[in-house]
Amino acid sequence: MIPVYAVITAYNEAQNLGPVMERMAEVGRQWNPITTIVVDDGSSDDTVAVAREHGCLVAVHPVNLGQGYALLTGFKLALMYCPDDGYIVELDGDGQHDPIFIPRLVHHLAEQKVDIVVGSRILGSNYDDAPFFRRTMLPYYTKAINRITGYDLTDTMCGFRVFKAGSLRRMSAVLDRMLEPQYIAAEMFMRFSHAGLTISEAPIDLQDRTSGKSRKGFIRYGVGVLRAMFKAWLDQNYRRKK
Amino acid sequence: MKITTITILIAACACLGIWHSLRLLKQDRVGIASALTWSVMLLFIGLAALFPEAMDFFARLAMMENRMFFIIVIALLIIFAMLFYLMFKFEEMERRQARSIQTLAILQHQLDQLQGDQADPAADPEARARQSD
Repeated sequence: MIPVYAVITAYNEAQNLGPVMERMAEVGRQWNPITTIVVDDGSSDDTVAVAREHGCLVAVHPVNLGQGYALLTGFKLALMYCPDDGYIVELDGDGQHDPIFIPRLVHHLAEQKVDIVVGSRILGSNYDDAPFFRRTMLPYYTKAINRITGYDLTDTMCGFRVFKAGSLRRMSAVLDRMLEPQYIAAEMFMRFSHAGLTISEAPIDLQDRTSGKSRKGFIRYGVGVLRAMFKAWLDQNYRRKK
Repeated sequence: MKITTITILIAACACLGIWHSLRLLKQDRVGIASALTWSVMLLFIGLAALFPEAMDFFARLAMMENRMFFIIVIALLIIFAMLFYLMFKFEEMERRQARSIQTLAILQHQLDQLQGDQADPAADPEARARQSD
C-alpha cells in the first residue's frame, strides 16, 4: 500500500465536493486508499460538513485567504501525516480534476524518478474545448516560466500535481516564505528549480465544473502570476542572506 | 517674514501637530522614528509658512527656480515615500495574518483530532473504510 494524501482546497464547494469525494473513493477502492485532506477556505456553505461526511481530514480557515494559502495549509497538514516515501496530490475541489488520473500521475512520478509530476491539460485529449483566454495565454506563461526555471513543461498553471512527500518536506521552509501564495504555481516552480527539484508532466483531461462558476479572472490572474514571478526573482537574486 | 492670518494658522497647526506627535510618543502609542518623522515634517511646514523666502534657498539647492514648484515636488515625494512604506507594511501584515490563520487552522485540526471529532483515516481503519465506501 502506497501512502497517498490528496489535498483539496475548497471555497463554497459543497455541491461540487460530494461528487469529487465519490470519485476519490472509487479510485481508492480500485487502486490504492487515498487519504483526503480538505482545507476549507472560509466557506459560508456546507463544505466542511460534506468533507466530514466523506471521512476527510479537515482544516478550516476562519476567513477566506485565497487558494494559495489554503493549499499551503493543506501541504503542512499532509506533511504531518505522510511519510517521506508517500505521495501528496494537489487537486481542485470543483470537479475539474478527475481523481481517476491520480494513479497515472503517481505511477509516472515513480517511473520517471522525479520529485513532482504536473498534470498537463495541453497534452490531454480535450484541450481544444478549453476557454479562449486559456488557450491563448497559457502557452506564453508557460514559456516564460520554462525560460526562467529551465524546465521543459507544456502546462505550468495546472493545479493537478503530485509531489513526492520527502521532496515537499525538504521545501517546507521555502513554502513558508512564498511571497504571493495566491499565484502559487509560478513562484513554486521558480523556487523548486532553484532548489534543484526535478519535474515531469503527464496528460490529464479537464472536466467541466459540476456546478457554479470559477472566481478566477484570467487577466487578473495573469497579472498576478507575472507579479509573483517578478517578486520571486527579486527575492532569489537580491535577498539579503540571513 | 510676512505675517498673515493663513501663515499664523499653518504655523499653529504645525505646532499643534508636533505637540500631538510628541504626546503620542510619551504615551507609547507611536515609535520614536514615526514621531520624529512627523515632527520634522510639521516643523518644515511651519517654517515654510513663516519664512517663505527660506524656501527659495532650498529650491535653489535643489536646482529649481520656482519656490512653489519645489514645495509641490517635495510634497509629492513625501506622499510617494509614505505610500510605498504603507504598501509594504500592509503586505507584510497581510502575510503575517495569513500565517496566523494557517497556524490556527492546523491547531484546530489537531484539537479536533484529540477530541475525536474527526478520525485520521490513515490511523483509523473504520474511517478509511467509510471513505472507501
